[in-house]
Amino acid sequence: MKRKNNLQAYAFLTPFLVLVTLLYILPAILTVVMAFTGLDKTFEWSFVGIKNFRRVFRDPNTPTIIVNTLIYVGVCITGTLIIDLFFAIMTTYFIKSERSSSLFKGILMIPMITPAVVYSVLWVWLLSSTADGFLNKLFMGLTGADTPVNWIAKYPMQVVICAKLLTSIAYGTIIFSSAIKSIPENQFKAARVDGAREWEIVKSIILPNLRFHVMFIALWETLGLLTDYVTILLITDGGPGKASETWALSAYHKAFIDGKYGYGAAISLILILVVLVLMIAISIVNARMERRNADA
Amino acid sequence: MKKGSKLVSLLLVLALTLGICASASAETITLKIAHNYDFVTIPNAVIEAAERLNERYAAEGKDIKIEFETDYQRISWTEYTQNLIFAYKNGDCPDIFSVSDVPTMAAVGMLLDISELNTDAFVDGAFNAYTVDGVTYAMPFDLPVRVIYYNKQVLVNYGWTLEEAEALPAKVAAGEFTWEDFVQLCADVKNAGACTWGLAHRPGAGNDFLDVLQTLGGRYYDENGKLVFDEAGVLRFFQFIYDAANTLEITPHDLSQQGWPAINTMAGDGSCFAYYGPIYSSTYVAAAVEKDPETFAKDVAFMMFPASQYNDKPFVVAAPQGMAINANTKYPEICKDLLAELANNSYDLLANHASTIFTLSSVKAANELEAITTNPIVANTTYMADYAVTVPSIDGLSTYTSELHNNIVQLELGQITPEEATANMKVQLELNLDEDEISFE
Repeated sequence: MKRKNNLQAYAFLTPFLVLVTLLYILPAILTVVMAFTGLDKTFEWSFVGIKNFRRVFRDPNTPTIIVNTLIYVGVCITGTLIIDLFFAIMTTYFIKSERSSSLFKGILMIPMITPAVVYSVLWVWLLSSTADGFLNKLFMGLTGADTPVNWIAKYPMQVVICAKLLTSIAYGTIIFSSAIKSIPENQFKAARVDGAREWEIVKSIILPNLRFHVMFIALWETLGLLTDYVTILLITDGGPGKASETWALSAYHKAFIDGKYGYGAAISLILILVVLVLMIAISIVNARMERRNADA
Repeated sequence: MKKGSKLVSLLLVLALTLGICASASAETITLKIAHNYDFVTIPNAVIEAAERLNERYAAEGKDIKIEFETDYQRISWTEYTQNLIFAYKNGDCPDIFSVSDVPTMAAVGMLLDISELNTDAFVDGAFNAYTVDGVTYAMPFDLPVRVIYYNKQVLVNYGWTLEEAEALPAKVAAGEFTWEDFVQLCADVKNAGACTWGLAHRPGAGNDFLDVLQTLGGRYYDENGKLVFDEAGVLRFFQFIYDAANTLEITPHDLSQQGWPAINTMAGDGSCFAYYGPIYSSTYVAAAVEKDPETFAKDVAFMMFPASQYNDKPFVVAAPQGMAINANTKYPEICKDLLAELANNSYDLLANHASTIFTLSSVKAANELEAITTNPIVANTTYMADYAVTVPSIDGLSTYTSELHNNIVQLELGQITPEEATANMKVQLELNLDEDEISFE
């Protein structure tokens, strides 16, 4: 009976597994193979060994791109977690009205559900370098300056980080809100009976209860940010120069703009390896923490 | 009599039936034609030429009727080229198509050798960009030159007479007005308040910058058509770009971030005195300021790149647009006949195309037709054909122009020095191009 059930489960899973193999596993294998070829605009496969990888590490732009990626991911993760926690605590713990908190969370979701192109165009318009740009109108009106500021060229990384941060808030806020709701009410009551102030409740009850959720969001967002480049592509295209070029975007540029698919695949492969190492490291840390909690 | 008329009627019916049968038996050949972007007068010239060729075939007793299936796109040229290469690899490539990256397409083997096409009808050098290793792979449909646009009204506002403003191209051609004079004039008109900016260029990477590089004595290809990194020339070019934005302040710092609509407007309404780019961009510039060609020509004139202290002759670079034939087409001879029809008999269609996009034609006889000689924009530039330089097909040029532009953006923003830009560009070219693609001087 059990074996029959297993067979049925496998039968139901087969179409999904076929799709995953075709759309994920096969392209991943192709990317690995492609990284060792000189595949370019002519679409001729020629094995070049580790030439593409040598190019990546000899490129003087590589350190800049690594630093940009670390700043982008690091600041976005930190910012996302802090803002997510802030909004989750405010809308779930402090605002008791379900209606008001839902409305607020709904507003937070607007940047996330807006198509990336529309959202990015909005940023470009807001920060337009001409005197007609929204921010420049505001800036010139308030300061009396007679020349507009080229915000995107002057602060490219800050701009893309802000744009990305706004789209990331909703997801973490909702996860953290759900987690706060699942904390037994008697923990809060006991703390209040003991005379704990609100900040102490947040610090000693809410945050410890959210630690696994925080780790999940941190991992989830890190993976997303390492591989995401759409917002940067649409707002700054990695420029000026390489000022906002990240690792994933440079893979896109090499492959689809320069037509060097082998080179682009090599950059992607390095990214995949970094993500794998990161996932393994986080899993180990996670397992150790769970063991320590169990021991305690 | 009655019998006779019956016989005549019978013969007539028979002849008619035979005629219908004959026309029905004409082999209909459907060719797929592909083109990218705005200038559809290019593929339309082929389609119209096919109608004439059909008549010619019929007159010669050939039972062939050519029809077309069109595939017109509006995507980036890189994407368009990649799509064609994919289609070729999958056996679904159009029979005739517009080309942009001939060296890559030739390397793929997707272009039919059309070297046997009679090139005598064409302007000298028109095929250079389409010839790879001595084999001709595409036919040029026009001869657009890249020029300097300048606004005559700005000069009038600055204090020149209209006659003096209109005489500027002749002075450039005679070598009496140099690049150094031009740059100084850009600064003077700007500083005098006759315009907001002195000199503008395209916002993205492209070949237009190579003309300034050449004006400043820099070269980017050798006599064999191989890419060259001329360090001294590139440094001079980057120094000019830096100075134009940061020292002379004739070019906006953020020009590359402004986009085509803003730049076309600047070039068309006189807020910028001069702009360099292909002459066919007039269509976009005039449209941006909502002017018809006649009104546009009253305000804007064109001159060649003047001689400079590094380059002793004025020049313009001609960069034709053209079409090639799929190497695996089922109908190679018919496709070749079509190109020959355009070159030898139906060149009026090429003249119409050239006139529509404000450029000279690649066919000599077409340039003498009324469509060109009476065109308000082209008529005043026909003399430039004598100064036109045609560039060979250069492998790796897109990488070169892309790196050039990356540095231009940072130079104009004042984020790097010309020396740093030159060093950056050298390293990137060394990394991204193979030794057989580029030499360093």
